[in-house]
Amino acid sequence: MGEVMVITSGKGGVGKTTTTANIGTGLASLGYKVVLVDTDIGLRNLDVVMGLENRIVYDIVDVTSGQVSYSKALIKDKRFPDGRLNLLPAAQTKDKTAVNQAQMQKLCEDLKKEFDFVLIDCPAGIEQGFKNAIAGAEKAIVVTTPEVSAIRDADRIIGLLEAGGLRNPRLIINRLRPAMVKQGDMMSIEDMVDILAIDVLGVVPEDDTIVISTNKGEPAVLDDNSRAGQAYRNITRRLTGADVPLMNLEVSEGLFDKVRKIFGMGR
Amino acid sequence: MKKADIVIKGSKDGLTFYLDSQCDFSDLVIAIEQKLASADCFLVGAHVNVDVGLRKLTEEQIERLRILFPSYGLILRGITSWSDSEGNNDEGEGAIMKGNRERIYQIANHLYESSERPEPAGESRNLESKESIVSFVPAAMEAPPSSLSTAATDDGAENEAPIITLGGDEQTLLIQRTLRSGQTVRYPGNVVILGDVNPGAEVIAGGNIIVMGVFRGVAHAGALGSLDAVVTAYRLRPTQLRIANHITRPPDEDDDGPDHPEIGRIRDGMVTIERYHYGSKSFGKDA
Repeated sequence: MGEVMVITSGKGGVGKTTTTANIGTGLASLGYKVVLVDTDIGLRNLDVVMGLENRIVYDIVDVTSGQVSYSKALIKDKRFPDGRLNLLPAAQTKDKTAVNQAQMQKLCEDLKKEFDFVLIDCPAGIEQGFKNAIAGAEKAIVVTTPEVSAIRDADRIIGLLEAGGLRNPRLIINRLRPAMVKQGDMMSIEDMVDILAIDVLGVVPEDDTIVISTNKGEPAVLDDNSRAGQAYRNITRRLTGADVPLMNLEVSEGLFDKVRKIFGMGR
Repeated sequence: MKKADIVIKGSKDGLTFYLDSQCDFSDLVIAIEQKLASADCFLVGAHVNVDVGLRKLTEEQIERLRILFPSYGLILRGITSWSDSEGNNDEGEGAIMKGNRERIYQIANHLYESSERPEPAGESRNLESKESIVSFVPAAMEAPPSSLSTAATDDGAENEAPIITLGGDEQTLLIQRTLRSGQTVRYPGNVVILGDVNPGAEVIAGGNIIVMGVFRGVAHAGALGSLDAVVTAYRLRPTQLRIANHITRPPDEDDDGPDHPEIGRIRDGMVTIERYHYGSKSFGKDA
């Protein structure tokens, strides 16, 4: 029986889809059977980021409405010939109301029988799409960037997740710029954890290679030279239970020690 | 409450929907919608006759059916009622009066021809009802009410003539704007687009698809099974190309494709894309 995890943020543009793609690909490269579910109906992106857009025939609405079985709709990732990594794409020509919470629960129940990890890419916002995405989830990962607006939304989302029965979500801080933090121009990890008070799953530094990998449709986690890719590899291993320290983000000793301390407390 | 019962029978004249005459009309509508929705696009363009049995339809109910079928891409040809014309809904008598088929409503193909009218300022005017579905529905709905009411009461014979003069099945939908992600065009005939089709947009046509712009979305020509259908574009860069029951996608190599118009069609059982040659036999389905 697998785990169903929703990746959410509240605010748009903080990297939910990128995170889903990278964590999913990372878990698959560790040998797990993974399915990525895009619930952003009407504004689907995960297929594009994964480079699988042109393989879509059926989508999540076809599955939840009972027209086809999920196995028919799943797209096997070309990078894993044994079919370890799968994508269930969202529909583009419909809207969030095309799926309801009961259907999502059923879908997640079905998928977790076959896969080790079911990762759900949540749409931005707190409306129907968000409710659908968390309906079948057992765990949650909240993605945020070091900006007050993103933190504010993440805080709201954590509250809604708890109200929805998803306790102890874990935090991924995305697009951190250590140099700016050092100068005091950007919120530090410590500041964010102070406000949100949840465990940090990982910190992903701002990295140009993400832009390139997104455009190419190849997740950065497979790129050994990408620092963001390294951060995602670490996150992936932490998800599977390994104890991996936060990576050195080339900032002053003091902060790095604090980071380590926070992480130590978090575990 | 009895479950709304619908029997669909196919013949060479199209599909006939036999509707239960006992249950609520609203249940029938729901049941029809479910049937049509579950058939996805496979019924798009089919000609439909509706047999309502002994039920006497009101004007509103006729209007509801008239809008319902085109909204799923089907062409409603007629509604048949077996109730007697006086309106005394005596069922026993109605059943005996077998030959008294009263064609209470006949919709003519020419309603669809009205979609060829230029769209005002090229903007979509159908956003209110079905946001992403751009099709012939709004045109049919926009037809002047006066012509509707006459069509609804006419015997139907008068409406037969325009069908012939307008050339039967050779219908073409002209779209003078760019289709963006999430927008869909479904049409039983040919589709001509003066503009681009962006990734995430879909064009599903019973006939050919011709794009005077860059085609980057999903194309499905010959969606009703015509293997002769073609997809032609000024620049053909589809996410996916489907013709009849064939589905293809471009190779994974990041290739921008050639800078000339191309045509995609089925050759020897495979979808092939080649340069579009003016004057050659590259117009696909014979007109």
